Amino acid sequence: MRIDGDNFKELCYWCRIGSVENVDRLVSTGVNLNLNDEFDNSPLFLASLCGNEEVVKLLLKRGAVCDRDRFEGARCIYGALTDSIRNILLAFDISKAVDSKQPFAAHLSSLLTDPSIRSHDIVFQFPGLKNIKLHKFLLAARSSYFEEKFQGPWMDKHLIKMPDWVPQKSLEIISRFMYLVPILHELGPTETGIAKKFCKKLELLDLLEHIDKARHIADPSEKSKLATESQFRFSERARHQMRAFVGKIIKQKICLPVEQTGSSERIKMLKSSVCIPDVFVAVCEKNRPGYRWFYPCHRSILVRSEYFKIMFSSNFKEASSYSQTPEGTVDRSKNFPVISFPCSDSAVAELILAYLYYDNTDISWEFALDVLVAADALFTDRLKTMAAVAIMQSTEFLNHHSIFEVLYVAWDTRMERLEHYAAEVIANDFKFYCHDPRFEEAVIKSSRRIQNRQEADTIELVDDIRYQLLKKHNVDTEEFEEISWDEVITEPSKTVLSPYNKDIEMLEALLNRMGLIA
Amino acid sequence: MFKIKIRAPEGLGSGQPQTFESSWGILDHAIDAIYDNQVNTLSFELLYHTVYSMVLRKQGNELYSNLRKAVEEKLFKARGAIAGPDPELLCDFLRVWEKQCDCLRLVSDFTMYLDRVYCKENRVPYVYDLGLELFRDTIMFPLKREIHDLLIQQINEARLGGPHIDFEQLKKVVDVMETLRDVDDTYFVHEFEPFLIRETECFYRNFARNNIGNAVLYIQKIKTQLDIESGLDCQFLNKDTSAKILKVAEEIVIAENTSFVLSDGLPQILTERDYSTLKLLFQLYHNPKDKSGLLKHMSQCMIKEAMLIEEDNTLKKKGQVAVKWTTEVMQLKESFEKVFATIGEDSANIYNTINESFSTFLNQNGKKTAEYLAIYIDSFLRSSATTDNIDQKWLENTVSMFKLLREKDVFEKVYKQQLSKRLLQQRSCLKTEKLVITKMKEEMGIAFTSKLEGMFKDIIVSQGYKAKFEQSYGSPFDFEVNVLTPPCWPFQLTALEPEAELPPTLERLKLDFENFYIKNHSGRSLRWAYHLGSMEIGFHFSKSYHEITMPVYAALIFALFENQEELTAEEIGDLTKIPDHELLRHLLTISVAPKTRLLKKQPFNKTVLPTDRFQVNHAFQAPTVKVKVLAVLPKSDANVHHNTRIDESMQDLLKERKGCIDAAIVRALKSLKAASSQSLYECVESDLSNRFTVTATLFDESIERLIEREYIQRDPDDPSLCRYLP
Repeated sequence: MRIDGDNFKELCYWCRIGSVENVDRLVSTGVNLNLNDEFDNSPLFLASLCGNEEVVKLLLKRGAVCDRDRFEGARCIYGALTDSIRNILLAFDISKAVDSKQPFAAHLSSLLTDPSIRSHDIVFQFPGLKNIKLHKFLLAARSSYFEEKFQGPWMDKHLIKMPDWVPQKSLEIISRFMYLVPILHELGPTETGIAKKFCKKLELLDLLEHIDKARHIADPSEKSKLATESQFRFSERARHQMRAFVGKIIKQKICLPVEQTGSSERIKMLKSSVCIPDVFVAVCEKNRPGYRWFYPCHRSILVRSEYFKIMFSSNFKEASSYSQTPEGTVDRSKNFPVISFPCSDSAVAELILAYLYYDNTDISWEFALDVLVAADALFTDRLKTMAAVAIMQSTEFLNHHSIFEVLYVAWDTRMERLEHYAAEVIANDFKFYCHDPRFEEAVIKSSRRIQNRQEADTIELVDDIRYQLLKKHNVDTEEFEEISWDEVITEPSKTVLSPYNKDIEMLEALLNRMGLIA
Repeated sequence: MFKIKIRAPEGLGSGQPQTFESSWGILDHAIDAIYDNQVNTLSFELLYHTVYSMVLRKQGNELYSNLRKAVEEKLFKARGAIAGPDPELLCDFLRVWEKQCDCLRLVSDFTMYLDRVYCKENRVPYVYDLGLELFRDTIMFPLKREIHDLLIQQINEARLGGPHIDFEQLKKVVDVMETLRDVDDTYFVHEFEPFLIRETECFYRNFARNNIGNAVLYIQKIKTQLDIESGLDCQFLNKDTSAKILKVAEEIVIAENTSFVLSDGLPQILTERDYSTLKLLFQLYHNPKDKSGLLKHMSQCMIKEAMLIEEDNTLKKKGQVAVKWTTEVMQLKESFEKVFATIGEDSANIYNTINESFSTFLNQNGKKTAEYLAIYIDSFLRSSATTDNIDQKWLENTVSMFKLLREKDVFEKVYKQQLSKRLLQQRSCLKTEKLVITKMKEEMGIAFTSKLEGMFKDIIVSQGYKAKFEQSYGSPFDFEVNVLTPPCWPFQLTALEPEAELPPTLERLKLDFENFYIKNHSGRSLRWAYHLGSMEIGFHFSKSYHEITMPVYAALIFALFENQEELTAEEIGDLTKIPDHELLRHLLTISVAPKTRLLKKQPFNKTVLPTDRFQVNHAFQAPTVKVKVLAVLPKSDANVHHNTRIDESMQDLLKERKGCIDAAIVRALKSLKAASSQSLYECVESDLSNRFTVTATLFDESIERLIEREYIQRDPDDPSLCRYLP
């Protein structure tokens, strides 16, 4: 198999190391998980060989295939380091594997199958049958056919009466496909026939391709494998389409004075743009005080954040400014509310949008800290993790920001991973930081983090640094304890200190000076 | 429009300084608006960001306690809106509850950041849960008495069939109670359920007290009431509590009042075969403890009823008495089985109860019962001698009765005696007999039936001899011999008695057969048992010709008159060499017994003296050509004989039992080497349980006997310990 660039190489690296966050980040860039590296190893094989159980779980969840009837799958199982990993791999059932999905795809599916808010804005009516309610923006993003229709004849319509000759089943299949609901394993011969007819018209070429391929395969395991691969391709294609769509949103954004609200003319124009928005996201323009950027966005996507989900499902003003048509769709003639993102930089806002729309995890170090804080306020934990990873991965970051800034943000956003990272950075260059007054300040702040601190309580930051120093100098804790007994007693006069003891001594000296016991 | 500025990460500590008061002012106003149903005028964004920045400014603690105060205040106001203790109270209460829940939900929506950061880190309840706690303390607890009383009032009304009970409301109140937490469980579990159970107990104690009287009516009433109860509970309680309540009710109306129902009502219900009430009883007494009580009483009733069956002593023959009695007992048993089958209670449990009851009953007089049953079977087999197809049902019933006997050795003894007669006299159908034996074998094992089967074998082998013998020797008469193996048969050997003199033709035949037999089985010896055989002689009396079947001895006597006109008793004795008491008996049989006076006796009286003279009675008449002569017992000792026979057989039985116990003790000790008397007794008892019941006296006697004979010895140190002596 072909090797897919640097991202794949990096993915393989993290699978060996066992960093769940980094694997998660890279998978969301669209790397194919089922490729092999130059030594013919798959990411799943590497993770199970190295005993990284959490990575194995994540890979399987995101669509890595472990088919025990094939060489690659069997190899993963034989190579698994622990029984627990082996059991996870054995429990994996390839015929159900098509259900595993990328997070953004799972969210899109939920809009169709189990929506948390009612944000449909178009109804397809079938005489005598159940109506199908969908989202215009998603249809437009996924298919140029619908995009044209919504710009043309269906522009102001929210109700489309379907002609008799179109079977309801067809739209059901197509809509499930468009919302990335895994449908391949439930396509019977009749459904395939119906789907095929409409694929051409709607230019859903990847589905068409799959149907053509699947026709010639009889072996069920082979068929499942193809379905998994196709489902993966579908979601990657959807990711591309969503990325393009976010590109349009960004292109459409407009800068207006703060006083401008949802009812202004410019915003009304934005409302009928190609993005078909149902909410406007406002972000301050830092270079132009008193001005804000307005983005045409979609509630259905924003509700991926817990914050927006509560906002739009509760009865507060934001949610109650929407009203429904008799057909149960959103009344687009009403004004839509303007909501703001908890950030003051359009670049940060765009990164958040990219994450919400298509799982973008490629966060530049310059914005990572802001994204982290915003994600915390928006209750988007995975984005928080991705931002933290971006900080830790970046080589540039510390040239522009102090590590203490990272530490304080980590405290505020409760990112333990990042706290440890800060301790590690400080420990690695302890000679430098020990004399930095900001370090003293940080130690004091850390000690105050425990309410009603007692003398005997430890200071978390100091503990973390001690631990990182041990790691840095490769001292085994057990070994360390043994040594301290014998050597101190037999050779008390020897004053040549190991580098570890030097660092520790500096730390103790500092604490003494500050009058802290920890 | 949104003036609130979201601080940039760089300026987390700085930003425009906002005082706690100004921020709280926004929230306080919002809470008021929420309680005024004006939530749609509030900006979620603004409220959320106010809370968010307060939490970041470490004002969570203050915010939390302010929220607490604000909500408490609202609740307190709401508490005032709930009216006094009348039925409207529940309505008001529910209305307040719903309103509070809605408002709390909204408040907790905009305080989500506080929940997630402050509450989680400080391990305090989330805002919503805090609100519920406050609701419990400000509203639920103060109104506890009133609410509980109103609920129980309605529930009790419903129990008595009150028509206008608002179950939906009850259910809603219960739901509230289940939502509120108290200590480590819900308010419902902690407060209301115990109360409800106490009240339920009260209700049902009352109910039971008011309805005790007629047991049948009581049963019907509690059934109806319990049905109402379960129908009622499921409408507003969870399954768990419903089950508890129902259990409490059953406990009271059934278990607590069980003696009255079972001792007063049950006998009547059972005798009257009141199926519907019985069925109810079984439905009500479904829990194992109640059921076992019910079955115990049931069993007592059955025994009592069985005791009412009396032996009908107006019947002349013992056989008839036995048959009648046994039939009635079996009918009764069957009728009980039918009762339980009819009410659909035909579990193994019930059959065990019936069987145990009858077993107890039957073994109250074990020996008699065993004998009666044997006689019953005998009479049945004799009467069905001609039919090939045995009634399977009858067989099942009989064998199931037999299973219940404890003194099976008595049964075996009597049965063997009767079987031997049936076999030799060909009074029953072999196939049927065989079936009965097979059935017994299935029940009792091969040891019990081995001798009975030996008897069958003898009979069948003998039939083979007959054909073979006739082939090689030929016989002037229709001649049938049964060669019996003595240990299998219940006869005493006639060993020392001299053999009777046969007429020459018969003597030749006898010698021929002996030759034939010895040739086939060298080393065996044959002894003739004339007293068991019979002979058929044709004779023309003056008026008619008769074919007379009679015992061999009688036939020998009668045959003498082929050549003699008249003989004295003494002469007959000399000629035939028949033992004296047999001679006497058979002379009486064919001369004095009213229906079979083949000989004339002079003088005609009921005693036989050696000088009495006998002639053929040519005037003999009988209604049929075939005449059967049955040997009589000399009148003088008929009764004595009968009793001694029974005594004799009892003596035999006792002897046999002793032997069995001896053997069982030795068997047990041989493997145990040493054992205490008690454990040895248990061992022996279980070993012999399917033959008879070992009594302590018999056991002790056996031990003494064995010690005497030095099979075993008592341990010198511990006299209760017995040792095996090799």
